[in-house]
Amino acid sequence: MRRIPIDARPGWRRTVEAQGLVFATTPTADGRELPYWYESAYYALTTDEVDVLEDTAAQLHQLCLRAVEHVIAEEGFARFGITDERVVAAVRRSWDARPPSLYGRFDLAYDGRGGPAKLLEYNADTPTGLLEAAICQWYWLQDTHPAADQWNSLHERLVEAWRAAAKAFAPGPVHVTHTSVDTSGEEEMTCAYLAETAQQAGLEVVTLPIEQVGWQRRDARFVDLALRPIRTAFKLYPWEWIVRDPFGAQILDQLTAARSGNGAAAATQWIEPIWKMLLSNKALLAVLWELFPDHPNLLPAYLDGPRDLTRHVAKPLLGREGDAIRITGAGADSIVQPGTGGAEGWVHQQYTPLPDYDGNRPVLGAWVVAGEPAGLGIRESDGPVTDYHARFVPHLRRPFCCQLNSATYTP
Amino acid sequence: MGNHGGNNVMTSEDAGRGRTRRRGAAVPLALGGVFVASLATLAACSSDTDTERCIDTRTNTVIDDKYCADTSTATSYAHWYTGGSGFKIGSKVSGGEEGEHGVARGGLGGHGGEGGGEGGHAGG
Repeated sequence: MRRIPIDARPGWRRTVEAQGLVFATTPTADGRELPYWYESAYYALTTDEVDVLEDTAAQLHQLCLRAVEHVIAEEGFARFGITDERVVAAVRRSWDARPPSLYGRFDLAYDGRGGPAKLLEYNADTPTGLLEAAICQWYWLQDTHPAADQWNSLHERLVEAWRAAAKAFAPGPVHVTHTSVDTSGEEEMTCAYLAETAQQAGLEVVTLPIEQVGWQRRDARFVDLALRPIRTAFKLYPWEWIVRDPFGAQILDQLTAARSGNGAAAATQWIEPIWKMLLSNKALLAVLWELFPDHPNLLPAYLDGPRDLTRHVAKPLLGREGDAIRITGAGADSIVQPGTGGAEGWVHQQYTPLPDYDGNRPVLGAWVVAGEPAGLGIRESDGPVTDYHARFVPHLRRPFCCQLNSATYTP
Repeated sequence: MGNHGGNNVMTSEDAGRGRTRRRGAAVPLALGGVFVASLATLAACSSDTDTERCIDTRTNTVIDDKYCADTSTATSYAHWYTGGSGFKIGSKVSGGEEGEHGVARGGLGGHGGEGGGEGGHAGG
């Protein structure tokens, strides 16, 4: 994998904004504006590298499913900070029923020199970065390297995943909900994009802020603003928040009600399903290491402390965007990120350095749609943690490795 | 930068993979419908969902949302109302559409002032 400087397209910001990326920059606390979409460089991967990464994503997904199965069979919920019996029952029921699931994104550390990619976390409940990976970087490729290819079948796979999932949906529209708290437009546009893919799959779609979802007590059902029942809902809002929200009790009641009992007919089917809260919880990393020690794509990880790890990263189980992460014993990369978290517990994972391309530190986001590898999105940071100031950099795939002027690689 | 000469030659194996695992370079992407509508709405910085308010159906005046969220029969006069004119508490509404009593909203979302997505752009 190489990082190659390139001139940005004239008017690139207008271009990506017209494609829906209205959050092309990141405002900083001191009033500056950093690029989020960054096309003054791109990453070039060989076909062999993409093949390996695809296989890695497919294999990791299967390992994760086996980990979930293990946690449920062994009643290991407390290790994930899940102590509410209603949540346990809902997760168990959801896993047994295996309702439709759409997508997820593995964050991988990849050294770019042929070594195995290492799993940093699995964003399997509410991943973002989708619109830029599926659409914007594809159009960038068409504009800049029309004869080249990209690891990117996200759009087609999402449409197909909706089409397949629809067989299990109740009659009526799919309600796609985003939180209106986010003012950058990222969440609304990500949801709008997913709604678009559902519509292209032939589904009727209604979009609304999740704050506007109504609970109609008379019929014990969720309704939209036109009082239509919400039977199938996509939410870009994490389950660990839902179960603590005021409507969490109603949702858990529906998820745990007897399949043919009261309320079952009016129940809402949520995407992603609640069992995926186990995948998006970083305790998963420790369970994976326990079940598959020395797997080449996993890093040692423990819940009870760093044990014998001399260089390690402490991550809150429900941490987001790198908040509160602590890197210890890693020299210049040792850091304590601001933020709160950790009330539910921590996972201690062996530190693995992100590659350094002239000060740019990429993390690979390997997308999985309907359980299959579907594409790649690369975010890079200036430091060891991929945080709020990370930028999205497009990529392309080459049939074989080529002579290119690329950034100096520092292992 | 778009011309890489022989580097673009795909082997038959590549082509086979491309059919099933990657997007072929000729596949067009078209976005429309709900996506374009959302983009337009965002660009205009407005949302029709903002217009919902609670009214007293005996007087057709706007009242506090808590009466519509109350699911008891004591406040059955309170219905949700969307569209039209009249937004401030105490003002008359007209031209919109009346919903029904007993629908509570606001029970999801707004957690800690954060968005719910993970791992994209997060600086907003």
